[in-house]
Amino acid sequence: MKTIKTKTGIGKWLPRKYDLQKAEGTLQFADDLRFGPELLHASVVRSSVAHGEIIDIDYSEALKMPGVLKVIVGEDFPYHFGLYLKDRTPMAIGRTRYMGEPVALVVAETEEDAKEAVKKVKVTYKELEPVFDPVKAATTNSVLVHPDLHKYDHVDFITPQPNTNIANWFRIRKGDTEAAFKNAAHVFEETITCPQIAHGFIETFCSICKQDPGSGEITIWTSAQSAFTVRDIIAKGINYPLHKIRVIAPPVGGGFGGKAGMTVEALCLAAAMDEDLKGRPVKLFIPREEVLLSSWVRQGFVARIELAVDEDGLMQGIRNTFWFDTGISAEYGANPVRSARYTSMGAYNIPNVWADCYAVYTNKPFGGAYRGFGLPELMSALEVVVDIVAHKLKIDPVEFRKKNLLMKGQTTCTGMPMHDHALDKIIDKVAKKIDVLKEEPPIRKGWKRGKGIALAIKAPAIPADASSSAIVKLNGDGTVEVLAATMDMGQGTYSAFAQIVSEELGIPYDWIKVYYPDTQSHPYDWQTAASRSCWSMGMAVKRAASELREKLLALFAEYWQTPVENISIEYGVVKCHKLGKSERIDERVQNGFKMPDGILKGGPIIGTGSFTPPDLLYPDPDTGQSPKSVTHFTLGAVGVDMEVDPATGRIIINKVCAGYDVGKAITPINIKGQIEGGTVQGLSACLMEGMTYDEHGKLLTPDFTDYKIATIKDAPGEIDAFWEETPEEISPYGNRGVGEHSMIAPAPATNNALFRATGMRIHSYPLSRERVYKALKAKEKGETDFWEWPYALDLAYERAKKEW
Amino acid sequence: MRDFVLERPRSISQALEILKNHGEKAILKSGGTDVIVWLHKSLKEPDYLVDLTAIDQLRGIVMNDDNVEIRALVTLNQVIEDNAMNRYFPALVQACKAHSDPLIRNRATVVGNICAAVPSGDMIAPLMCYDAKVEIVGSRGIRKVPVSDFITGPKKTSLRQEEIVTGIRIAIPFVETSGCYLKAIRREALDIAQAAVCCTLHKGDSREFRIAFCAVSPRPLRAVEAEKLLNSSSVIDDSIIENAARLAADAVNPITDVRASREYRIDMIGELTKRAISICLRGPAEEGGPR
Amino acid sequence: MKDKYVTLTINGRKTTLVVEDRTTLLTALREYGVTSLKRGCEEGECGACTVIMNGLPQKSCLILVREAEGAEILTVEGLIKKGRLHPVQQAFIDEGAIQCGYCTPGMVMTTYALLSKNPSPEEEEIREALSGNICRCTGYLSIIRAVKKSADILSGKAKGGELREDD
Repeated sequence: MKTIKTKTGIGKWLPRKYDLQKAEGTLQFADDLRFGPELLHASVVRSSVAHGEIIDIDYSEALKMPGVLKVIVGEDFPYHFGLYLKDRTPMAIGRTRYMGEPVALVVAETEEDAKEAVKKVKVTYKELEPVFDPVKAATTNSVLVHPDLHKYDHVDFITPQPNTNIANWFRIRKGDTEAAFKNAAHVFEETITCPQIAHGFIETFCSICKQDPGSGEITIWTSAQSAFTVRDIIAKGINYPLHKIRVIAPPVGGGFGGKAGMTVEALCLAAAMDEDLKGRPVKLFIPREEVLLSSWVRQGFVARIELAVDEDGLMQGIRNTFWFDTGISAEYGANPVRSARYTSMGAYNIPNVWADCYAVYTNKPFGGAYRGFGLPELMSALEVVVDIVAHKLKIDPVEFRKKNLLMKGQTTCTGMPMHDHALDKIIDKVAKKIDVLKEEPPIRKGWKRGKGIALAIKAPAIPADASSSAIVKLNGDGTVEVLAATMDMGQGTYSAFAQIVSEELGIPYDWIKVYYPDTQSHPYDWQTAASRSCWSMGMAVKRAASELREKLLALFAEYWQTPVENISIEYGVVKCHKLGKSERIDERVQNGFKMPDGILKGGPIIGTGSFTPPDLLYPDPDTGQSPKSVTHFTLGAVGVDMEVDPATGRIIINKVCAGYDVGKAITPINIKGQIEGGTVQGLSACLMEGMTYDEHGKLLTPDFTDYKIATIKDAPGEIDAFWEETPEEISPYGNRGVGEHSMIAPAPATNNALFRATGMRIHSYPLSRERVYKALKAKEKGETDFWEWPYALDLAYERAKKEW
Repeated sequence: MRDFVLERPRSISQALEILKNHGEKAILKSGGTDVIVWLHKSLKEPDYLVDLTAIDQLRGIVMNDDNVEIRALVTLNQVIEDNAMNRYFPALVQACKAHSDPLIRNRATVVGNICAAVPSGDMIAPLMCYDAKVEIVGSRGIRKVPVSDFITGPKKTSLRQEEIVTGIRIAIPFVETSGCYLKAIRREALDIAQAAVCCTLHKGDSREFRIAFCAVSPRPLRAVEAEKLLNSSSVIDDSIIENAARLAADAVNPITDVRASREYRIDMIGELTKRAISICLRGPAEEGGPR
Repeated sequence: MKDKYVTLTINGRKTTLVVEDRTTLLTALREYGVTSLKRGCEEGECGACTVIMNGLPQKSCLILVREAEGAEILTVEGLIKKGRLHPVQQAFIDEGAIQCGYCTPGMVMTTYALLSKNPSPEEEEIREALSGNICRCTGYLSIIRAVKKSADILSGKAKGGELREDD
């Protein structure tokens, strides 16, 4: 007999946790917290040059402004921070490396006072030559963004190249690529580019820091996805004991990777730890127009991909080079580079792989984590190249993909065997649902219609020791509290945890509360990132709930003097059908059960659980080979039905169909939400997004006036979201991550559809109206391919390409 | 935002008095959807901000015998919802609908858009086509200036210190009329024009086309040559439309910036002009073009 | 310096605020305690600060609080009557139209205003009405479903509190 019965376990459609408070408007985000009149406010003085020595910072006038208490500069807080590579300081010290880099911090009684005083700080620079193009930066090294790269601490799985601009070089050497290309019936080479793009979360960054003057204890309230990672990075940066740093993470208004790791906390801390200010809380709210200058964005890239295909249309070899534009810091950005490389083969069975992936420093705001973590970048390129090859070989794009699919037992580019999955089935469904091979007339007069398909694949690129732990507490009325330091930033993990607990405990979903992270109360979790939470933390929560159940049932077994197997928990009530017993959970779970012998036993019942991936091995640095480089892959496919107005370049997406193999759907409402949301975010990136700079490195798209993201009118007419469930072996319920994956394939699928519609291949994202228009004009002149790089004036790229 | 003194006059004369006292230290606002953004971004740092929104005399769309007066506080949504505006000035209504979003349109005013005088102002082209007069009151009395003379350059107008715009007056066309406003933007909603074309057609004894542009010249611009061609052609066929569109594109002088290149703007002017003429010929406003 | 007074009605409660001339309606309401309005961009591009002022939905970052002298302000907090959610709020929950929740109060208010004027909007009208409210999480389709469901609850065609399930 099953031990529990519940109507609200995994797989059920339930109202999401905290949606009620969100609908009421009562949920408090970091900016909504109140600290009283003691609160100070900081505002940032930013560099007006892209690369320069700081000669002088004159803040005498600023100090005279009303309400101003202090101006802090880089030398006052000379600590290096970073998750994987300690290459950044909260403020520039001696040298500024991008336009908009913090050079000083003004602290005042009110936010307006601080902002006004910022205008009075005069900074004198000696300008240095900047470098903006990643290929130029990596190949010429004429300008070194970080001459001290050799001095920076870093984790051992990334490989900075001192005296160059290469912050990480990750490579794969599998099989004999040279022979594969020599013997191939067909060889193809293509390039694809994409600029930096931005997360576009609606909540900007906000941190409040306070240091207790006597004990030195630091409290940080911050809009962060990963409370413990903030604590770790800060502790390592300022060499401080962990127990003296408390990080409280209120609800986050959209993260998408942009609030993973540490963002603006250290900058705020520079003020809170100041000798003259400490004791008072200091708030740093980053206004929209400074968001892209304050933390990372998605790295831009230049990709070159070569494919060797045999006479049967089977891919035999791939050689690819990715230059990621990581801006001035690769502290986080070094890792998407690694993530992309783990999947250099895409979703295909390619026996011979040669891949180089570089994170390249340039004098621009820095690149880092963004939904998909290297894979939207890789697949935006690879899935277009695969489409080009299919077209040139006159094989239909669905068939070509299916015959080359990486199936169970075949090895990935790192040499690990692929697990079971249902991608072939998903491709068939997607192809059928949008009738991808059928040409249909456009809905709009004078437009051209096309359909395209692209595949998605991604594994969590977590460090091998990325762990999770959870505590589940049973209250004296049968309700349950869960402490799991995952950030529910909208993806809905707290609903998933509550459903897991309900599944394990037989306690109704509504009786279960999951709290937002606080390092003081919650046990450790590495990060809310990598689509790992329902899997890694899910495992910890499941274990904690199971432990709690075992403890509770053992107590009832003794209490009722019956074997534990006879006892069940049904809809929150403990039962023994054999004895006809049925009792609610009450104070006894707090203060103990009076056993038949009269002795009190038990006491507060708490379950704990933890999880560390059991079998990950870092790849060999020279070849990238490892028997298990990643825990698992989530695979999927996206089909896009779109049409374009050739006279303006305007694209409208009629319908998208997207399916993923999620292993097991724990919270279907969230999976549907993740697929719809990620699809539109991917389409938005594809159609309109890109950070643009002028020739001096000034960001021309700092805010929503010019950094455009999809509105409700840009959303497709229909998104058909579905999933398959091929269980994962090491996983709470067979489930795999799906949060990021939905953003991977919409862009290449749209690009492929545009080709089907027009016969024109655009090699540069975004497919903005102007670019599409230009490309179609070029087509009229006989061109078949169109390519633009944001630094069109920078011919070094053209030269470098030839030198590859 | 730097602090300022907010003046909220209750009458036009009070407003003029305040302006007289503060001179160039004061700037005016009506809906504020541009001005407050400029203040937020520190693009303007006035000592005095004179808010006209409390002046009841400046409210309302007033229909007179042969003209209509759009007073300074009339919002874009008020224009959109006004029957007479829809009947007589469809191109202006469409321009209002193409502007920003439904929330901002509850605040943004037609007059404010003209006074902001940014080349991408959506109201400029329709008011050019409808030959609107800007009505200005100052200490020295009232003057009326055509929109084309009112805007003298990007963010520059002929409004003097100590003057305010009380409204815009447009003659009512007592003939069958059609018009449209087509706007090229970077996504499906809420964007500043890359380029836009306004076209009106009055079908009286003699058919009269008027065409004006948005975001492609420092000052308001009518497509004089294109209009001439259209108005002198007895039959308007595809080749005439093509030629008119080419003349329109030749007339503009846009800049390249982050929103669009000069070349794209010019080509969009040609394309949108073509579409706008056809729409006007077909009659009442129809969907077409980027917006 | 805070030396100006504004009297206005916030969610049915008449109150006088002490403000600066430069204070926006957004800032003043947040300082007062109505923190459902969010600082998403402070330049009218995102809609996270949408309120209903004198019956019209507006972006409160683009209004100076002194302009709201005597005004009736309605925010999402004010939709709750006797502890019960408004049908629009309930429909957003039912349809999974909320993810991070940062845009939600603005979305709900714009929807409320739309349905007050147009009780059964077509999808195109919904898209137009909400085109000034940016959501980065949901992809919007669930929001469109929520608006339709709101209309259905308000007209008695549907019941709030029931989730839509696929398959």
